[in-house]
Amino acid sequence: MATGIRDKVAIIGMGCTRFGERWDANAETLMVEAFEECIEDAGIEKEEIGAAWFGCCMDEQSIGKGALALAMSLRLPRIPVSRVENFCATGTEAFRGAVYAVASGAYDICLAQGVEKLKDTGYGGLPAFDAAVGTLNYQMMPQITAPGGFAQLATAYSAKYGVPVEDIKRAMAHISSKSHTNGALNPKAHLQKLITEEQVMAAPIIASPLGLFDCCGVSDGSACAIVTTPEIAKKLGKKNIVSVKALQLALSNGEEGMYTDWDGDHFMTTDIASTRAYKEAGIKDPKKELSMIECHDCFSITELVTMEDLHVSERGEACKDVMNGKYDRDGEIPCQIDGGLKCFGHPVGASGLRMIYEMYLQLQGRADKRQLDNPTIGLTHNLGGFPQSNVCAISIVGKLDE
Amino acid sequence: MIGITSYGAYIPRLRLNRMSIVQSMGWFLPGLMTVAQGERSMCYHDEDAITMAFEAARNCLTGKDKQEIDAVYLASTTLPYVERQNAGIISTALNLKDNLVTSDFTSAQKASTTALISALDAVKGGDKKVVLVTSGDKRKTKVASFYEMWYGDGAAAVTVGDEDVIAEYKGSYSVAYDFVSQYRGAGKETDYQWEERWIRDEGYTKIIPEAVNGLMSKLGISMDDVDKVVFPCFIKSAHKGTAKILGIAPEKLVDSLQDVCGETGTAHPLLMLASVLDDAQPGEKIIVAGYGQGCDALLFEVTENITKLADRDRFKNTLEYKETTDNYMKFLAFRGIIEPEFGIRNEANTKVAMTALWRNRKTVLGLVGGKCTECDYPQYPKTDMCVNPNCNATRTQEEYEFAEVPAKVLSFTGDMLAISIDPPHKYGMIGYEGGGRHFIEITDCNLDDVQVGLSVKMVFRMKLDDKGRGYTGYTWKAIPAPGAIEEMSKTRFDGRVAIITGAGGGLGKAYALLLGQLGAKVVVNDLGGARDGSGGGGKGPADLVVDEIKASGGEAVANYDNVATPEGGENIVKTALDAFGRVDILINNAGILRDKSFVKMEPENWQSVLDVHLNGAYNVTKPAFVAMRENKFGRIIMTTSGAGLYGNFGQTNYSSAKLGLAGFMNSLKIEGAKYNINVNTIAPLAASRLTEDIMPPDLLDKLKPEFVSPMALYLCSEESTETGQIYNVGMGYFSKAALMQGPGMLLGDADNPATLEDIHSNWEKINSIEGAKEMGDVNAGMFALLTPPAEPSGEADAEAGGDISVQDIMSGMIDGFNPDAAAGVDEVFQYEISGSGGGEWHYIVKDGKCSMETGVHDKPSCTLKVADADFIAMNTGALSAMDAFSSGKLQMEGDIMKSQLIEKLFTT
Repeated sequence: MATGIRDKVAIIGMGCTRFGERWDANAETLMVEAFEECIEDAGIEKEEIGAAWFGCCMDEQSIGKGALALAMSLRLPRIPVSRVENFCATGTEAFRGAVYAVASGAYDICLAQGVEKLKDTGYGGLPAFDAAVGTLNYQMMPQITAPGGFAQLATAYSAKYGVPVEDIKRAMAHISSKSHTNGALNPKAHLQKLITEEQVMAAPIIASPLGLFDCCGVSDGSACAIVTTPEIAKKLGKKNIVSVKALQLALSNGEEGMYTDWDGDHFMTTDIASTRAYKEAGIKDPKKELSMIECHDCFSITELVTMEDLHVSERGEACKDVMNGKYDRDGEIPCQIDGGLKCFGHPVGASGLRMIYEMYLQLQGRADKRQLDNPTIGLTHNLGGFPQSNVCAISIVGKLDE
Repeated sequence: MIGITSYGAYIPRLRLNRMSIVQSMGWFLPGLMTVAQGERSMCYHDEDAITMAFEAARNCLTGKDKQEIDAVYLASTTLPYVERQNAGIISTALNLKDNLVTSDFTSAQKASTTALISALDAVKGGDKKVVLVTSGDKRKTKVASFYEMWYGDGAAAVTVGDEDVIAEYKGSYSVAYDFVSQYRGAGKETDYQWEERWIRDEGYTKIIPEAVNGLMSKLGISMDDVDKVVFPCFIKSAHKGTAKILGIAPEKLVDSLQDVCGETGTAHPLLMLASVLDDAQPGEKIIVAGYGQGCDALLFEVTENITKLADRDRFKNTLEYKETTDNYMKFLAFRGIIEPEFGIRNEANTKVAMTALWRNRKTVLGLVGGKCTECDYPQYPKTDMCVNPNCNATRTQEEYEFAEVPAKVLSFTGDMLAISIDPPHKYGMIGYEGGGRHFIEITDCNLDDVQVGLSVKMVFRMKLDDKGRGYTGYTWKAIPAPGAIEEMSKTRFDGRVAIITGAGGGLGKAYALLLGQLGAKVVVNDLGGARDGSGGGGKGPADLVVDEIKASGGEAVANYDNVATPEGGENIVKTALDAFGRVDILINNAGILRDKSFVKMEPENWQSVLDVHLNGAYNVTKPAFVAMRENKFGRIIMTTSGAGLYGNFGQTNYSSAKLGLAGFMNSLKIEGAKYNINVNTIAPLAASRLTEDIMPPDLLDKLKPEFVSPMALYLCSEESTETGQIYNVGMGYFSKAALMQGPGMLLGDADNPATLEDIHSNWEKINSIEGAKEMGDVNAGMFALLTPPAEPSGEADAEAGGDISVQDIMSGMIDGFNPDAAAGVDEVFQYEISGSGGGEWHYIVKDGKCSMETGVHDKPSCTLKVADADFIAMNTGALSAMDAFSSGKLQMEGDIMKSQLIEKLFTT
């Protein structure tokens, strides 16, 4: 009988590059940069790594298909390396591979690394998906961009709960502004300037009602993690060991976009994945037990509705909670304490791991100016696709044996 | 009998104002002015000959069995494909049967009439039962050419058969001449035209008469036998000239649609025919001629069956469904004549796999989905596994057409990032009636028109224009359903819960029915008693109204409690909360009569009228207000009467109650303000039980409650910000009633009250209501009393100026601030000082501190307005505050009581 992942795998090292418009670096360079920090943090030799999982989504942009790019950039010792991809949840997907490999007992120490080099396209926004979404995409579907797809959450939410779009816009502005307040304390973030709610609300519209500052940027970056069993972690003398408490994925089955039950206002997958994750981690009351959340704030509206899907805000109450500062740095459950996708941008393969990176630092008391007061449990939410068809990946990490 | 069995028309929604072309290009060719009347139709960027011909065919096929069609003929000189059967794209989009003949008729402007003759011959031949002939043209023209002005885009279609014929085919006569008035070589984009004078002299006026005369001769008739003559001609003088040659009387000559549409190429003869068939009478004989390298002339006789055509859009509907634009640049961009920069994102590879298109042709081109035979759920697209999570059966779906199923927008956005030649790119999720939903582009409309809940219509449009490969792809998109935008902007009460007391009949019932119709959930309260309040407890009236609301598709519940008791009031509101979870609107309408002359009015009569009207309003409003406060929204209506406002013999009880309700409103509006709870009062003039005795029956007929209810609902709408107002409403008349206060005067002084003689000699002024004003609350009234208009005063005292400025005083107030007096004070005092030395300042007192800022605060507690010299005088002791008030030199607004704090907070 399966017993979940709780406390079976520990993180002993993590690395993360500075994210941003890395005109200076190829994808290979970014991978090496993150890996160097990670292996030093782990305090092991590269030869001790048994297998690696490599996350990269838009391979056409930089490194092609297959896992060779990682194996070769890091000069890994001819170990198994698998390339994985699950849209914007790719980072967590790589993490999953490494974690399950260790939990299975097949390997002692595994590496999970994600990278994305997006700034070679020559234009703003995520590159068009081309024929990636089925051969009928261009024949039938409207040209759904990332902001356009997520923007629809706002009109649907407004119609369902009777919250005026202006109020949603104000709450979204608070979310972005709050993330910048956090990102300003993070030397690895792409954007480190403060912005006000008024600036967010006055920004030009990208896809109504989302404005420029409701959207995370496109950027380059890499992040990685080295995982092992708690026993090995203790043998290596690690203190404040960070352990994986839950890892859940939920994928849409097409019902949202074709059946009648979904109102367009939330993520059916996040609702289910978080419920499963809380059960796996033994969390009975997330509102009280979560210390911090890194959520997939590709767009501020996503963060807004996700608070309800993560069961930390009641349905229809997210705007109120946001405006009351519940998710601010000094609120009950700080969200995007490192600045989030908003300040880091979204190098697709790396983001999921960057989220875990911040949770890891916070739990070890190493989060510098961003350090929260004794956090014990962190949740990461990493989402790929669109509200109507998506991959939701949730990880919960915390202190081992707590 | 063989002939036309149905017809359809389609003119694109956008119409380009011809003057806009002249405005842009008149500098180049001033002569364009001569043809700048009216407007020409203009395709949206995703429309072409095929999409327009499709829409005309679809319109034509409304109410017809399309599976009877044995052949589809498409006529056009602007077909997107030189090789790929264009008619076949239309037959696939229509989801016709496979056993079909398709053919494109092209290369001449008369291709549509030629196709029509062929279709009629085919049916006559016996092998074809029904033939669809459709035609459309979107012709490209050069900038600042006359043809750009003359041409329009459009389409028309007819079906031809031998059953249910609406216009019998009598015969045709054709001539073919290689008369090259214009030509377009293969691979060229625009026509090459010869001189119009020659076209008129040698073409129209010779060739058309030859064909028409030939027809009439063949059929043994003359122009006297003909009722209408259709032939396209964009040269107005040639149109008239040809008609004259043929002896066509002006009323028989069918308008060429130049001013409203322009000439639509091959479609034009059929489009003009459609314009006539809208109003054609049985027995009318119509000649239809197509012209272009010859002329086809056909004669039809309208039959009785024209009155039996299915109810659907006609030519006039597509003509009238329009938006006029003067954006000539957009016209040029849409047609590819100018090419804006789309950026690198536009380089995405849009190659279509023909294998995928073939396998999915019904999905992509036909909007055909699947309906599961296990669970009946319709979905789009059809998939191997049913999408219903309670079913998920495999390979159980049968084809299901969605093209004519009504749908609504469920979510949407206007995307500025996506590529569009008419940004923003609009799309969203739409849901069909009966089930099924998908994402779709929303086209041919303005972003502002789109809302969640908007009804949409599915249309066939261009999707891909792969210029590199020469491939045009099509699929279905959504447009706002005709009339939907106007429908959505109507005031509605969806999601709102309304309580109406005394709603079993008369006014109350009218309010309930209208609210139910406009989407509100209604609690229909009625005691069920007689007019004088006796009897009661009967279930009839409230239930009947509830039934009526439900029968019209609304939601309602009945309540039978008596408003005259607090418990009754509580129960009424509880019914609303239990059934619908909230209260938004309350109309206090319940009332009874116990008219008696005053001396005969017993205490019981007095009391019961007050109990139902006035106390009844209190009993229900109190719990309702509490519920409204929760949602920070409420709309309350009190019912008053002219008897209450002005008086009526025998109704001292009723008038007291009725004016009492206005008094109730006056104070309640103040308490409701911060919760967005508005309270208003209506004095209705309507026939109801309370008026049936006092008015003659014929007057009662005109006094329908339906003439009052719209006003009540208007005041209850979310948009309405009125509060504390009284309106007379009835029979179509509306007026406002108000309690107002005259300017008044001051008599005597601080030590000497006025004598009776003083009062008498100033009576006129005391009594005057000239310049009377409404008072917002008691304080406003009081201060208005204390500040009669100032007598015109002379110059302000020179001594009061001196060296002190207003600015000095303002700054000095900060120094004089007393923090100890400021405990618990959270106010903003606004000063507006007029005059050259004046300005605007405000003081914000909060948390025991005071700050001063210039300008006007958006939410001051109170505002003091005074001229600069007077302000200085007040602060130097030359003018006391009281004198300043009483002389009108100092005006106050807002919460005047708060101004009392100023003396406590600031020592000057």
